[in-house]
Amino acid sequence: MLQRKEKMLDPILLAVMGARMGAIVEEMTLSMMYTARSAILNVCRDFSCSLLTSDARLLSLYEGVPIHVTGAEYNIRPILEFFRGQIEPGDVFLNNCPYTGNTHHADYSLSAPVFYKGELLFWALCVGHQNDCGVHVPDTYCPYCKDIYEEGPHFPCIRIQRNYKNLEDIIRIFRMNIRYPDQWYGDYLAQVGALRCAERALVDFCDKYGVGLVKEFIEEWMNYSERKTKEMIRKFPRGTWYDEAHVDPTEFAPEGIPIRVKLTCDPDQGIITIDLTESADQAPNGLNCTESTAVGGAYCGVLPCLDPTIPINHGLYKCIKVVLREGCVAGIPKFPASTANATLAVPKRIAGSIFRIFAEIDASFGHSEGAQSSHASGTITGFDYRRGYRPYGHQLCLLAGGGPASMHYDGWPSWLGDISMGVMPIESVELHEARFPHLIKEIAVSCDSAGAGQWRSGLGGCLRLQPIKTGVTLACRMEGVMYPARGVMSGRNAIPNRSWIEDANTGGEKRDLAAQGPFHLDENEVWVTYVQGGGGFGIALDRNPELVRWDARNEYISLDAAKEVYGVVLKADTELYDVDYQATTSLREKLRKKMGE
Amino acid sequence: MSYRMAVDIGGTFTDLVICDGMGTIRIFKTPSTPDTLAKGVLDVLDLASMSYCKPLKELLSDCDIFVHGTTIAINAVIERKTAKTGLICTRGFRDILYFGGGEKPDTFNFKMAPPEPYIPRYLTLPVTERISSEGKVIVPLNEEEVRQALRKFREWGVQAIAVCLLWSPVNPTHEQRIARLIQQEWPEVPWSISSEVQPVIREWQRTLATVLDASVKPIVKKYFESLQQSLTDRGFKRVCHIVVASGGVMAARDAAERPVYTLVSGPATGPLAGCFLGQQLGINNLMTIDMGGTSFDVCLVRDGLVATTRRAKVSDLPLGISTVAVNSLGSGGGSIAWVDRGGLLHVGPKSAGAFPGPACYALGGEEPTVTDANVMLGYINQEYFLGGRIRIAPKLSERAIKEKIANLLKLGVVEAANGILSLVNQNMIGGMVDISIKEGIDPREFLLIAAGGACPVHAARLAQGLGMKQVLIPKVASAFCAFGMLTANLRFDHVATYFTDSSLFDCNGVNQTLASLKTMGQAKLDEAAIAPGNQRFVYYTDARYPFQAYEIEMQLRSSQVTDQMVPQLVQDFHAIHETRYGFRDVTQTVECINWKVVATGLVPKIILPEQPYGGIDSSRAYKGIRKAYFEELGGFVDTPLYDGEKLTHGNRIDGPAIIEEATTTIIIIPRSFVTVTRWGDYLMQVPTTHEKTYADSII
Repeated sequence: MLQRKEKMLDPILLAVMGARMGAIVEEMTLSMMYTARSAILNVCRDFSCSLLTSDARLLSLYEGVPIHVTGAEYNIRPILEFFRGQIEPGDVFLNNCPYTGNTHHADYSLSAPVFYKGELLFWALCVGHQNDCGVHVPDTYCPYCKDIYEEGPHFPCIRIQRNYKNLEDIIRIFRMNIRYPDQWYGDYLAQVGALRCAERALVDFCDKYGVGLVKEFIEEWMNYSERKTKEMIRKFPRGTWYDEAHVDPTEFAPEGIPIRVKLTCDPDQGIITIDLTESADQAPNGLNCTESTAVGGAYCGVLPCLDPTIPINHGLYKCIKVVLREGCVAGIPKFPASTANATLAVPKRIAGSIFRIFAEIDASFGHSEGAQSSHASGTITGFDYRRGYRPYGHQLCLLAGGGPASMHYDGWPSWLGDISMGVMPIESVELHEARFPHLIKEIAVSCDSAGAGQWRSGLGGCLRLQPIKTGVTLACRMEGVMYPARGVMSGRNAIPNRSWIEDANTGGEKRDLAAQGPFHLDENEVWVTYVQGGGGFGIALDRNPELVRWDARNEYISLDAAKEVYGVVLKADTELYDVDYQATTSLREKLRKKMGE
Repeated sequence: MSYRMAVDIGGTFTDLVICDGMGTIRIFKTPSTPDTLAKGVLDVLDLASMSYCKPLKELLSDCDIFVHGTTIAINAVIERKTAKTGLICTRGFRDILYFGGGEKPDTFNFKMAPPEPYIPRYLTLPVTERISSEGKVIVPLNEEEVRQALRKFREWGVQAIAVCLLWSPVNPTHEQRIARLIQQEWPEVPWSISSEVQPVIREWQRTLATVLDASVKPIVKKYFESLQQSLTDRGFKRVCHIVVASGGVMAARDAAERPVYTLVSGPATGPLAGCFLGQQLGINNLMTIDMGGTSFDVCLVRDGLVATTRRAKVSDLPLGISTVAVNSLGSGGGSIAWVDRGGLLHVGPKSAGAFPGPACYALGGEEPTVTDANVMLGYINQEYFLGGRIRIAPKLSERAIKEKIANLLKLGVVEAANGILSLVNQNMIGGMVDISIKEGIDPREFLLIAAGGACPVHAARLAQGLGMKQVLIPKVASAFCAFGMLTANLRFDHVATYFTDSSLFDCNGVNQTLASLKTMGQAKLDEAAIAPGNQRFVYYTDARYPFQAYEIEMQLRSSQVTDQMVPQLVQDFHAIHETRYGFRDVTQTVECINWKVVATGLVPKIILPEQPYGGIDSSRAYKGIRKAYFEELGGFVDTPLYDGEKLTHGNRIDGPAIIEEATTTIIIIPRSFVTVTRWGDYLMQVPTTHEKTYADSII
């Protein structure tokens, strides 16, 4: 029987308390963004905050990086094991280890238990991608690592604060291993600050509502999400669907690495199961997923195909089952396999495959794929002549590829892949040049870079960067060369990524860059990288001619593409490129016939 | 006698509030004239002049302060009626507006159209030039390309030009040169350059502010100039002031040059009025709602502070400037009710405005509006609407609702009218939820202040829907924003960038910067005839730890910084950083980036006259009975009517009842009651039984 309490959890209060949780995570996020020191955190926001229950169930998250938040629960569970009976108020734990629930080595996951009147009620978690994590080369995604011993130091859930004070010996270990110790320490303080901000707010929250009501809220909040998710899944047809994607070739897999997704929908139970076990065996390099990112990739695929108003918490997660296999590239890595790139190449392919499967189930649910990783999100390191040749390092986010297209919607720009979904801010050119000795010569849309379709993807573009006074090193891996972002429902694929070097004085092309760095760039060289759009959705010949006209007028597509791909004839001598409807109708008929043949 | 006047132009009515030297407030309302807004201002002034039995010339020449709030700029942006604008940018950076800032909202929702760049790419023309981060010219400006761009713009019929080049806040010479070329080649076209609009680095935000500024400039400039001229012609001796986004005011001449700050103008002062009234009652937490003919504005005041935001958006475009946080919806008395093809009822966002207005105005409007539904249900007096100046034709309301709603939905006319009201109330409740429940704030702890001509009819239902227990309906409800303008101080913010680090603090440079900013502010206040004794200057710096990307705005302890004061400044920063973010890093130096001087001209405080206590008996104001519809009483019931003019302090009226004022109508629903405060405002206690109904709709 429902017991009567002093304050009842009515539906308004449930909504207020749920929103308060969201607002606390938002406060954590802003606090982190406003105080962190490295640009990857304070400009590109490559971090995520969330709140969990005392038993490590996800309760609330804000608009963090999707691949981080989906794995939040994996981060807290081992701490509960390792420190059973020893968790105290004022503790902070740090985890960056792929074998104890973390995403990958470069995400430092800081967590703090939140007690109220002596009882552990919540965990606050802040996962932050570090500017440097002490790898032998200045890189944080290292696809070339053979095993975890090449990934820099691992900290499998260690305590770093006790009783609200640093454990200084532990801090010294970090300062010794990381390239930019002062900047790291500033970032560390910002992460701890975000946790403390959550702790204060949660204690106020409990003061206000009383612990009984708070506990009731937690369960009801998750039940609500579970109910709504099940309700939605019940509307899907029963069945099993497959899709096979490929990670681009590596030296060990010249044809690429197959990722196989099997999706089963059980409308009676209201459960969707994603089985990744038929994917390739684990790779002898850093491309392997961790358990957290394999599950994360699957969640990233499913969530955008569900009702976006459902609060994301453990209640929703209960309706999505992910089946993994040990020793699989998209599964649970077998020690000591490297997982340095675990948040990028493979999870993007998993998510993209799931989008396409949903489109097959019902065109109105699914999407095409967003852009695959390019060199434009690599790590650049060098020496700053303006600051006494002090070493610096930075993960670039000046330009990100195009997003997926969906029924009735063109894709978004500045997407950065299907595991980040456009949530990360794009760097300001001015802020970038103020901080780093680079001259940005161009950041612009590339004509015809969008995957064509009835709805096209977001546009890709071109970045031109020249180092000033001294050379730089670029650490990066480019995907989407052999296997670019795929279209769906007859939408076209994106154009392959590409990267090359030009002579700064003549502008002449000097050499193409391979998919995988690191590369060196001299001060008289300009690095050019082309970032693809996503895939298209639906048949290009069905696109509204007025949309084609507008794209052509703005040089998002060429006049040739308007004609040959979209079958639209335009009057290019008018200000707005008026459509020649008569010519368009006959051209489209002709092209359709050709397509039918 | 000296007067202070404030005029607020809404989508439907133009409101004038006049406060005389005794603190007596009078309100005047005339229909807005969307095609010639300045005419609406003169209309309402004429009305006042008649009422005061004084020629307008005399009234205006006795006017010390004339404040004006307008939605002209924002409406132009929302309705895309802005000038056709061309943008000149640095070569290689043509797509700053397309790529935007990243940060797609609503992460897992892909079914959102990506934002269309505010200026289409074909009207964005790059010119060869480049300035470095240190302000050095790396590539000189190609003037021939500028001329070519201007020729193209001219050919395409562009009406305004925005210029935003990389690094112009550090070195504006190229932008200034382009401005001179525009003046030479095409002197009549209005232009804005980013180093003047928003001289702060981050090219995306600066470009947006600049294109918004340029695109509304032709409209705003023309309007402000004609307004000032009309007032001057009619005897006004001072500078007309315009409300800007911060809730302060600026001279019309200055506002015309920087119209981006007037994008949030009129509605920004509603919360100020709320603060004033809240203070009178000793209440610090309140929500102000304002429903006029076209829109519904809602804002929160917590702990006596008006909520402000740096994330204000107009048509989904971030403004990049600090504004009062007002949530606006298209729900007003003139909002049109309609039925879609699927047979679903909608209300708004289209409004019948002042012309033709609701069907019942008999000015040719045929669409049923919220006001028509209110007429149908007996809430609005046919004889006494706007003090009798507009005659209501209930037959026309009935016909419109019957033909356009009831017949399509196969409902009775009364049911249809009630449906329209339930729906518009639900929409407004949604807007109130967005700024409270969705931010984790429980509105049940707040006082609701209901303003705007149309709001007091709906206020009780809105409060009930959210479980709010008290509603204040101010005597000035129908001209709430205009009243707020009278309480606003003159305010001029001047900002400059001057970088210095606490380890090598450059006192001279900083003090010169602060002094010149103060001089600019002082000149503005002098121009507005603010006596030196009423001038206030507050000094700020934006400071941060090295490599942080965001600064904290910190008030300085004095107008100058000496070497001895630097350690104190550093301490202050550590302390404010710790309070705000929970930690300090004493190993680090402090960087100061921007310097700001806020010059405030205090206007005399308004003291509203108090009424003597008149006892709870309100029978003196009783004026008869009308049939009005209350669902909980089973339909139309005899409802007592009261004359607002005759009610005095302490009078109590129990619902159901209706209070009629010249410019608004207050509906007291069953089981609620109203008492009159000593300033003549109405305080309503609302029963809270409908919580479940609302709650069901959000969960």
